Amino acid sequence: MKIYGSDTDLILHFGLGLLGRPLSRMIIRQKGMKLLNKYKIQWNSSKSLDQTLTEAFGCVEELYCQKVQRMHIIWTAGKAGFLASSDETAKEFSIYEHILKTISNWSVEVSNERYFYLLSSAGGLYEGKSCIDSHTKIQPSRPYGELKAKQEKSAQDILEGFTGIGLYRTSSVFSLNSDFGRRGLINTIIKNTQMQRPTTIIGHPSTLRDYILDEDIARILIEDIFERNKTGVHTHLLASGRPISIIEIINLISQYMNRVPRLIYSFNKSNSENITFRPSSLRNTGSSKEIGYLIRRALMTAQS
Amino acid sequence: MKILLSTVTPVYQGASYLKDLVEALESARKAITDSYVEIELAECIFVIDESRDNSGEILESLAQEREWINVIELSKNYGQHPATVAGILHSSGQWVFTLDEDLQHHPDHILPMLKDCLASNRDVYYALPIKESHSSFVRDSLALWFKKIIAYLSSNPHVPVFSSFRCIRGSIARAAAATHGVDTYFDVSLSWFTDRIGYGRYKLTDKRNQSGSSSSGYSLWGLIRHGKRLVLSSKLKFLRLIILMGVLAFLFSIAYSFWILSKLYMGEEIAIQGWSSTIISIYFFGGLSCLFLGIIIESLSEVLLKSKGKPAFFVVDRSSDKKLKAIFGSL
Repeated sequence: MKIYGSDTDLILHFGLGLLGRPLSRMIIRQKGMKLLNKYKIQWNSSKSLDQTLTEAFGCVEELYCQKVQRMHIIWTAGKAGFLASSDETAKEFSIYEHILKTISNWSVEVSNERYFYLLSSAGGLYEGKSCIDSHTKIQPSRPYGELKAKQEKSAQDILEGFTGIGLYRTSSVFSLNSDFGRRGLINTIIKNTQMQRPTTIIGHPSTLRDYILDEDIARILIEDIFERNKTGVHTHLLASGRPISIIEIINLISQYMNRVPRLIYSFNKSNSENITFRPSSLRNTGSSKEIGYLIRRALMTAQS
Repeated sequence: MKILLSTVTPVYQGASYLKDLVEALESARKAITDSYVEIELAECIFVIDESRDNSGEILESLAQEREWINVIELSKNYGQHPATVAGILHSSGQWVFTLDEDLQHHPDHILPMLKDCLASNRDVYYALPIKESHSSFVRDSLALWFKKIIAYLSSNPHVPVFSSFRCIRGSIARAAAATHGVDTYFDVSLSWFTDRIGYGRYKLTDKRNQSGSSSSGYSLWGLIRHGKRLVLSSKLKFLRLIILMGVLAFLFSIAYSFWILSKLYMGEEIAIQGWSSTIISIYFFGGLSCLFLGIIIESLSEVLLKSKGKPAFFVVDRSSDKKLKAIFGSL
């Protein structure tokens, strides 16, 4: 968890993984923002978690003698993946709920204008749907999707007094930084092709996915935090609007690497459904639309 | 889960027709959903190929009121096939329909084409006019005969029915588009992924004839380039003829040598000194040259086709056809 502050804004940012890192970098670049403190959260121990939160709150109270103009809570944390079990998601949800309740009670003393931003998952909420837009009803069909749905609802219930609650439903996140955690399909294929190892693809080669760059997600969040300050509950679909199949990814990688990736397909019906988005319902996601450009950048990163 | 359909329309000089086309698509969308709740014309993709008129502005304004319209703009004029490929790569429907901008291909034919395609168990289905629609008999005849010759030389029987009004299984459309190389003829790419190609004849009225302007977007030079793309995308039989010629010439030289030697052995005199040896040498070395040249060209054409995206294999999922056939009733 990181705490940032300026004269007018205070940010508590939970989750410094895949999306958290580029977001952190962009927050620091905003005018007047400074990193006030950072804490390593022990997600497995509720006692340690409470202790960390108490320390964090104490730090804020020391630095800000009076109420800050705007307070922003950003949640990009999450360990459970697409194939997580019910037990894993239940545990994650209970930690999430506990933190929200704690912050909700405490934040009243910190600011009158409070905002919450939740990174949710379109893939989990709209599994198997194509041409997803703002009218599409969510239909989670596995524990991961149900977790995301519950997190969204819980945020609206617990943080009722907040000025604004933003729910950001993202498509498959693509990061050029593949050094930690889940690497993602494209980076995995590139890495394995460099090492001349086969890659196992769980799904059908024609299955369509939508990839969005982590930096584009971070940029949109920064825009909303520092420029828009939208009130009420607002939901956003964050995707490139450019569907892409595994065949196309393989073809692009082959062209740029001059080497054909070796693939092993493990056909799994549940992972073979398309997930695509209607471009008219999406925010402008910049370079995410140019999948060839993204793959070339990933290759350059992998080779450096 | 709904069966989603997509349309892809390359746009070059469609300002006069786009509004009508969009209205026709809108009606078709409504008609499809009214007739079959499980089917939806989910998206209509327009690809602006550096248009020569204000097609771009017209489409942007039409798209603002219609979320199912997606407008893509190419950075320069790449041609009809590349624009079609770009549009297909942005599609997500289980079935993709490509149609021209000038209302020659009316959206009302979308459902009938899909039904006919399924009824005949095809992956690609072309719509041909009952009567050829361009006003030039010479152009139409030349195009038809050119395609017939290429069909024979390339052993691809579907060439004569290639048309820009297509109904294509989504996964095959996108796979062909994804592996599509520069200067590849898109319909040839499609035939690398499936042999289930068919066609039907429909009443396709060329609105441009009615309005008095029947000019095609293709100049003569454009047509020649189009034909060149078709030739270069196909592996032509005559390449094997070169090998055959080489082998025959080589064998002829060997046989002729034996004949001359047997004459000499029998004591016969050769009428013209030096002629036989010259002929034998020409056929021997000429035949060998042709043979090796043919092998080299054959290998190069394989490499060329591979560079154009010809795959070793492709796996297709046709499981949704049963559901569609059930929706349409017994076919």
